[in-house]
Amino acid sequence: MEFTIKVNGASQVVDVDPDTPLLWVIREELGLTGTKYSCGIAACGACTVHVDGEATRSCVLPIEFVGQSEITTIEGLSSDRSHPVQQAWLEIDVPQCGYCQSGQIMAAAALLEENPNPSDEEIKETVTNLCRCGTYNRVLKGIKRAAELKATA
Amino acid sequence: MTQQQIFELDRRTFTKLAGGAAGGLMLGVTFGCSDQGQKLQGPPVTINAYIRISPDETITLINPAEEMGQGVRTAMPQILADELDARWDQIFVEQAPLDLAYANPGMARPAQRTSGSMSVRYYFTPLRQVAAAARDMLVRAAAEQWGVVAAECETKDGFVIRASDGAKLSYGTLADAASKLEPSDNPPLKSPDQFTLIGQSLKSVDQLKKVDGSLEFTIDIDLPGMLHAALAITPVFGGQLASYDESEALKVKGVRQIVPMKDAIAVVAERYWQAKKALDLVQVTFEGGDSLGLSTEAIYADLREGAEQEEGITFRDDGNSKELLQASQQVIEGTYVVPYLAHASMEPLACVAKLEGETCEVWTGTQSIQAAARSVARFLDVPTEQITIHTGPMGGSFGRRLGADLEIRAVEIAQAAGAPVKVIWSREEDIRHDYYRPAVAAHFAATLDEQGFPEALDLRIATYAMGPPRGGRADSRVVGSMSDMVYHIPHVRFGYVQREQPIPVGSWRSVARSHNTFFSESLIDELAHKAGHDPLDYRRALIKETPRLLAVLELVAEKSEWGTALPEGHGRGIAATPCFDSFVAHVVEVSVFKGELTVHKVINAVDCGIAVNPDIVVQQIEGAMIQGLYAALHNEITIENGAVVESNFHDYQMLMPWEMPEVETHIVQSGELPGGIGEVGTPALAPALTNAIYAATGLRIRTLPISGHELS
Ligand code: FES
Ligand code: FES
Repeated sequence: MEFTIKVNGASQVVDVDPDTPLLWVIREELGLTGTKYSCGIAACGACTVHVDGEATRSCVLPIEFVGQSEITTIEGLSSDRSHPVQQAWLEIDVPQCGYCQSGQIMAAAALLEENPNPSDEEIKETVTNLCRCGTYNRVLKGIKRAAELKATA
Repeated sequence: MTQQQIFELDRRTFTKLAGGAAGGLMLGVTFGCSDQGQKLQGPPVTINAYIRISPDETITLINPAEEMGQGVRTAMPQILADELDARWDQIFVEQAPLDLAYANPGMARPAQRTSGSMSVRYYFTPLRQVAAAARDMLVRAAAEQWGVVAAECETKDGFVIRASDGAKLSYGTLADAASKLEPSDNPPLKSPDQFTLIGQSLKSVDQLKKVDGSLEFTIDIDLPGMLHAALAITPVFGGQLASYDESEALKVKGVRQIVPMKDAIAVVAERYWQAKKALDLVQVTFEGGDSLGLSTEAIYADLREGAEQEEGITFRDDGNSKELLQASQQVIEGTYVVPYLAHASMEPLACVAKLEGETCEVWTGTQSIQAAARSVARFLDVPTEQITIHTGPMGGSFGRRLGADLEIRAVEIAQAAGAPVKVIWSREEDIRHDYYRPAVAAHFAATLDEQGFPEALDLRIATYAMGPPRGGRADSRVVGSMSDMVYHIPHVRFGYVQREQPIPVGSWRSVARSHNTFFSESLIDELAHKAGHDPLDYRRALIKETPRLLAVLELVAEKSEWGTALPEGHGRGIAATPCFDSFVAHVVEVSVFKGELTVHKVINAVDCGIAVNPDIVVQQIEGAMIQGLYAALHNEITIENGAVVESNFHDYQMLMPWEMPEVETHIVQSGELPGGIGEVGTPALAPALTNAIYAATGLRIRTLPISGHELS
């Protein structure tokens, strides 16, 4: 079945089964592999993208429910790593293996849109992405730093 | 010191390898700000097996260690660039191809392997030697050009400089002439006070690609004409495919074929999602299996019985603990049990294979390129030369990718499909088909002297080994860390009881120490409390002969204000261990209220010798410590009727952000040669944590995970 979806500002036509999760449409039809698969059951956040600005776990969102929503993936967050979250991540050297980091960054970016100055508690309750390498404290620090960068931008 | 840092380097290491160095997967990325790849103005010049210098001044390190998040793509070139006197922003890194010239000098039998925290630990001196050899050749080339003696030249920032007048020749312009010179024997190495890059917290390589999603993991690889496969392996270990009905699955759009294997079935489709969806529609039955009927209860009972009632193989026996324990009326004893653990890397297992005629190419994240190549060659019954393994970064591994099970699966499926295939393990398959950290039981019996210090100790561990007993000797991957237990106890006996079980086991972060440090650091704590001693003072008295361990212990004690009063319901626990030639200690502070455990703070101290990149050292200690933390809190692989019960992150949990304690890490600068770092933070965390729970509640946790206990 054909679907026309809006990803990173461009309309894309894909021909997939209606139950195909957005994650696999992004990765396999559009070739945007920055969005990762890890659990497939909305338990880890590696597949986080923005759907109309909201952090969404794309592994459990069938394409048929996406409609005309604006999708943003890590590739569309900025073209040059200039997003404050990416800048803060580089400054603090957050990633270890890096596999969970696209999801972390997308979740962080969505949080800061909604709440430009989140408390530690708010961060921990909102950015619930898992990291097997254990970068949690740097993720927290990174979000705080990104909030500062954003405020002064 | 047990460290062996004097290596006889293979002569080939200093020479250009025929066809080797340029053949691997090109993973070169720049450090610093630019990420544009090499802009060559002429062909790069191979100086030796590890170093290529281009006319455009870029220098490529052929990196022998695989990256899985532990920072070797940063630390290794840092070592090399320092000794070469190169600028950091001119260094590129490329992964070594299959060639024993890159074998890890720490391996008893030559092999390229990234495990056991052995990269910086064992390549530190060899990398410096190859860099010093290259620098020496560049200097001699410049001296020749200038008509001066080499002693009149120095090197800095990628240039050879003539001392008399400061004239400069760049490495790029000298490379060709230098490569034609014979390497000298043992060119001198820098002294540590001359280090410029070693010891700096340089930003990790590949970070740019890790923040914009462009770093390509194996799961992201796409080849022309590549198909995708989803896999279901028999849930019972050793089971076999009995029957299957593919009719419904074949109706799914994009599905090309069903591939039956001896113990598994795969669906091959144009897209992974199609394959995965169709796999659920295959009516499949498996039969038999070696683990059929087995449960974790039976396993734990068997291990407990082994540890408590059998003597096993004695692998250390000092003094006469047996007689003393038999004669004593006041034996303190207890049994500890730890569960199977999965690796559950964030990137699920994935592998790409492509066969063409007699040759086979494999794209994989592996800790052991040799094992992958040899196993695939054996499977295809072709010479190893016909196999090319392209290695790439791993989204975690922790010991999982040491074997070659994933590569063989991918090759078998690609062979059946007649096209390049990428196989992705679903998370469920990944967790249910691991090589697990073995379940282990330990029984200890001890007596104390008049001052309350241990006089005799008998400690036996029972487990399922990673291989058959070799000539009656205990498997070092299981007992390794026991035999070098550092506490001064006059009479000790360590025994190893080996049981057979068909559950596949393998190395997990910190290998034997992941369980043995829990046993030893818990039982020492038990004995300290029994004797009425402070657990810190008790350890101080028993490790006098290991000053580096004592130093990290003192440091965490100081930073945690050990001994000061804590609020009601709170407790501090301490633990320390040597680990892969490094030394680590933790103090954990917890509270328990109405049965609810909160981990407030963890203070780490490490002495890893020269910290090549202190910030990565901190990252690794904290990351490994957190892995130790959530494993101790939550993780257990259970078996029911021969199959693994857990399947995904809902029942095999990582840490949730709100469980994250405050963390502080301190590095002791001992100046010794580098020890390991990737695994060092894991083993002593669990006992520091359970010792803290004891301090807070009086409850001694002898079985993990902690989530299995009522803490009220
Ligand atoms: S892959 Fe979507 S939440 Fe884990
Ligand atoms: S950085 Fe490796 S899983 Fe998060």
